[in-house]
Amino acid sequence: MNSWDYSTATELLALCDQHNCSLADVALRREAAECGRPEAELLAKMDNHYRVMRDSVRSGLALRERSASGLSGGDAAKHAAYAAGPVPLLGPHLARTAAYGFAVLEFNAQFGRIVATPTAGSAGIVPACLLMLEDTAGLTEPAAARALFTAAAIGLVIGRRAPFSGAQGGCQAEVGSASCMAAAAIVEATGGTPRQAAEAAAYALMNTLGLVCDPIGGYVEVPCVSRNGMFAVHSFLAATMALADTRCVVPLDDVVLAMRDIGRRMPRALKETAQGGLATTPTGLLFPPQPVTAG
Amino acid sequence: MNLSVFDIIGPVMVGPSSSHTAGAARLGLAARRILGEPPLRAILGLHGSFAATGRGHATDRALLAGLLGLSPDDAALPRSPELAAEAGLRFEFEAIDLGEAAHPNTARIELESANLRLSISGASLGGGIVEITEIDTYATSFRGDLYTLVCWHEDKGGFLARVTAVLACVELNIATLRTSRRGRGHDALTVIETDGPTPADALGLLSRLGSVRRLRALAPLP
Repeated sequence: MNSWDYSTATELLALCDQHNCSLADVALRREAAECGRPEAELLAKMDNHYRVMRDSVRSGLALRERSASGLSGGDAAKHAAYAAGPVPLLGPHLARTAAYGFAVLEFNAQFGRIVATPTAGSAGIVPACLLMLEDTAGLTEPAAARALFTAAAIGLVIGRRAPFSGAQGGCQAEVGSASCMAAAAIVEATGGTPRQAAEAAAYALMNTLGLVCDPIGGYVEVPCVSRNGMFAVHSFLAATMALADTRCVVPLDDVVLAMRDIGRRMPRALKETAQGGLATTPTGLLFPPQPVTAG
Repeated sequence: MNLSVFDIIGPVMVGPSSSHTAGAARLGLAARRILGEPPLRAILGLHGSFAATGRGHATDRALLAGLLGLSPDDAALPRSPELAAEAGLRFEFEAIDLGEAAHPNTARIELESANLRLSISGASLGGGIVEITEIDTYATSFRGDLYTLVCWHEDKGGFLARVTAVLACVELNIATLRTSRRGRGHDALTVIETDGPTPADALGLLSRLGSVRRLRALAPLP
């Protein structure tokens, strides 16, 4: 039995208390014990994942063309341009965070190389948050790799009890989980305590509960692209609330149970089947799924 | 479920979908490795959601990329139709209906190389995880994430005892083992997942067993 293993946030925080260490430390040591590889090797692998994330943001920002479906493409660049303009709302960081989230998903929709975090459809949120910290708070590459271990530490709490896929749990399982992981990573990367990080995670997930997975035509584009931009901002807000030392009331473990419960009760039509919601609106029906044998 | 941090932060993959793109690429790659030779002809049957939404998700290009030996994170994945033409691989896609019981993301891949034919079916379960469900009409079940031996052989008494004895001699732990056969005394297929690679000397011994017709040693899928 791996002494760094845990299945709930309560156990995870107890490990942090016991060893006076961060969430990232626990995830790193658990992984090292689990796979028998040295911590330095795991950090180097995560570092590489972070570089892929950064490349995907930059590539997405450079896109000017629409995707094959015509549903997305070029909007990350517009957000970035607006952020660099004279009077962006709430300063340049709001639109820039959204730009980064858009960028990864627009690149993903055009067959770009991304890191599924935890899924491809939610792959923009964690990178957007960490790249914003690189831009605004001097986050270094090694610190970003550690922050990804924080994100994974929280991801494990979710993954032990609930699915990550939209097909099983709705969008709350994808974007909700990503936002939850990102919020904790932001807190720990900016000097917050493990408890504050868990609080941020709880805030982020609690406020994505119920999100359904109803993308138009089954494409990972509408609403996925804009949702990644918006929920990157949501992650910063959740982190801010925790850093202000407020309490979410419902602890992360309970929020995960609520997410699982809602996912199970969510109708199949709203779980990545393109049979309801946005997908079956008059607009949604203009973009039917493309079968593989069509010319 | 024993999750790794790299299941959560990862895999690195070409978009847009872990199930419809990364999983499809891994299915194609598994098929190529089980064939063991460059395929020259491929018929790719797509069932359910793979058939219905596959083009938009590049499921077709991902399957082809895998057949060409590309990993799910290879930036060349979207160019696989051109690469297939360069590699002399002729291919066609068709929609198939395997019934309600089949997983919605299932592909049936029929391959021909210079010397061999192979038919495999597999499903993409989500997050890039795949399951091979059938090889040359033999039912099987493995995910390709472990070292795997695939062995076509005669259905003969003592076969499994000999195989497991060889693996025991090199202290290789067997994770799973499954044999299926066409009928008593006919041909059979055995798939063995192990906790490490089978050393070359052990592979040599296994391939010299009298009843072995063909043997493939697969490394874990990327």
